[in-house]
Amino acid sequence: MTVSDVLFLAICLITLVAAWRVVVSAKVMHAALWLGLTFFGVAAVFLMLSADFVAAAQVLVYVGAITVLLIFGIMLSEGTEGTPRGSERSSLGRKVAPVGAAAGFAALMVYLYHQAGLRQPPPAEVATDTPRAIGTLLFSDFVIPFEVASLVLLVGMVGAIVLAMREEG
Amino acid sequence: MEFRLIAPELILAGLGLSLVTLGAVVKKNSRALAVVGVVGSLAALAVVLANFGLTQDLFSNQLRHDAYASFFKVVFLVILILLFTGSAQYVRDRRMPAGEFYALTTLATLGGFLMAGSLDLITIFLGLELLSIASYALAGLLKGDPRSQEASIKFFLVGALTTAVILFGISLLYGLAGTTSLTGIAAAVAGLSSAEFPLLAAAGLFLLAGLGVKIAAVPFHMWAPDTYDGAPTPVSAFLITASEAAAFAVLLRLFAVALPSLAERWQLILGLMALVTMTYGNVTAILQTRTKRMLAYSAIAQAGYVLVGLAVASPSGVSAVLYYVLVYALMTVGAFTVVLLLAGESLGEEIADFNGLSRRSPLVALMVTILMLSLIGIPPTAGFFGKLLLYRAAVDSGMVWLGLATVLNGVVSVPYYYRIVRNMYLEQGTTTAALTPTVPIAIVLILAVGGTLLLGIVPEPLARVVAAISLTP
Repeated sequence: MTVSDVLFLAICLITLVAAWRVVVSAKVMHAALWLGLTFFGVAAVFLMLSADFVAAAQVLVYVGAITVLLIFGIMLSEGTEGTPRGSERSSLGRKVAPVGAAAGFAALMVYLYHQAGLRQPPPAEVATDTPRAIGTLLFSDFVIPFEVASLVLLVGMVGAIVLAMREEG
Repeated sequence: MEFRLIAPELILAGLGLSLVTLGAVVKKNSRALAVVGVVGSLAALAVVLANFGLTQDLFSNQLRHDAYASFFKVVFLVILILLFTGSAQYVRDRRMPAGEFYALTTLATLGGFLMAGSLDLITIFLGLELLSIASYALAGLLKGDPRSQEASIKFFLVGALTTAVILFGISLLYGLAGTTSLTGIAAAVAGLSSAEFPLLAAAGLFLLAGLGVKIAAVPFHMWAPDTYDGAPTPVSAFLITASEAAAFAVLLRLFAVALPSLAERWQLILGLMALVTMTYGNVTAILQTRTKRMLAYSAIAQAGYVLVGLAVASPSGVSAVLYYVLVYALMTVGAFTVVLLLAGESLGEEIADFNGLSRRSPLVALMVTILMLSLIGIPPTAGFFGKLLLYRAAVDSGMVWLGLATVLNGVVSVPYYYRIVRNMYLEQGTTTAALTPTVPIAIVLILAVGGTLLLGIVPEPLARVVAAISLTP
């Protein structure tokens, strides 16, 4: 194992644990903070893949904007901050089943990857100046997906507003 | 040329944006918005029909214009136009946010356009998300109704998980092939070693499961009955017809164009899925007492029929799917419009509300009878001819068991469709007041029922059109 392997595994572990805590945290506020850590972990993975621009965008948008907005939302909605989420009884099945399913899935995929043998070697030259490359691609080859993505965001916004809006008298 | 070919998409995008804006200005007048929506969709339909025969890759292969995509676009627009025409009164009565309803439906249709009209997984995925996210919001638009909220949240939770599953499948395909283009994947997959094959099969299964959720195929159907039942009636009709048709368009393209090397395996899996889906849908539909819930299970069963055509995946299977998707859209929109009509007098939720309909309006009762006969698949309706095509495609390619299952399921479905007809003619209703449809609803019913009859009596022209459409680039 090389240093980068160890580093990668450590980042993965942190990200996974944080993601798991998002789901099981009793308080919504804790879940939001763990979510921030998850986003950081993902950004670190992007960095290790030499995707520096994507990593920066991940930190700016997800950690900087989305997590902060989420925390504002929780603080502004009265009373939810400290209240535990639901009082679901923790039966053994509910604890074991998700872990079992996740572990089984992970084992299966690792086995399949191993079987396949990673054929493609990592690219020899590491891309530099990625923002320029991404920008050029977005406005040439991927102009349609780029425009559609903006429509997806618009629909998400309209949908969220219309569902959250108070009924007009 | 490129802009002429994507003009329908541009029209729909512009229409969606202007409907949001108009909705904020003319709050109370849902009819005016419906008129704008119908006119815009008709314009898009005219352009699609004018461009029908052209085949071209557009915008660095992100979009593909061909007869297959054009056919699905026609289906989507027919659904959109009929729903816009018939739903103005319902939107007003239920105090739904009109501008958002029409705009989100239009943009969801645009998502369907992109799904059917692309050979690249990135654009297909974005189209799918456009369609799905709009649908989640649409399902929850009856804000005073807890069942609509349940429909929306259930759909959203299952849908979000589905998105993850589909993306995982796409990432596996990209990892194996190094490209997101379906034709590129086909070329790369042909050169895979046998050790890499299980990974490819896993990718196929993820995509099948993800799209299986969208078409509500068993065992991925758990969300469907609650969502189709609780959502606003026009939205249910849209989800059952347009949303499912879009997922079928992608499934067919994905497996036939990108993964033909998996053919033997996925044919069996899709065949079994078709068998289980139609049987489950038909048997469960018999037990329902609410009209929309019954139609929801009937939709699951009908998705099973279409899966037969997918499982066959011969050229005749493809044309059978195309034929059935259009016919099914007409029948379903017709049936839901009758529910809309009865809902206008706060009826239509229970199957018992059809009691005595023949005395209240003989003409409507006759139309409902035709729609039900077509849903069962009895001549001379279009449903019969559609099923015949599916049956023939299955038998011709050696899947006789699947053809037989389709026919047997047609028999199983008789009781619940027939119950509506019996209630209309033989039972006493709670009211005998004459039922007069409003003009827009009458137009939709005439178009839907007329189309169902016409395509059943003279099926050859459409059959020729769909027979000429091929999947492969």
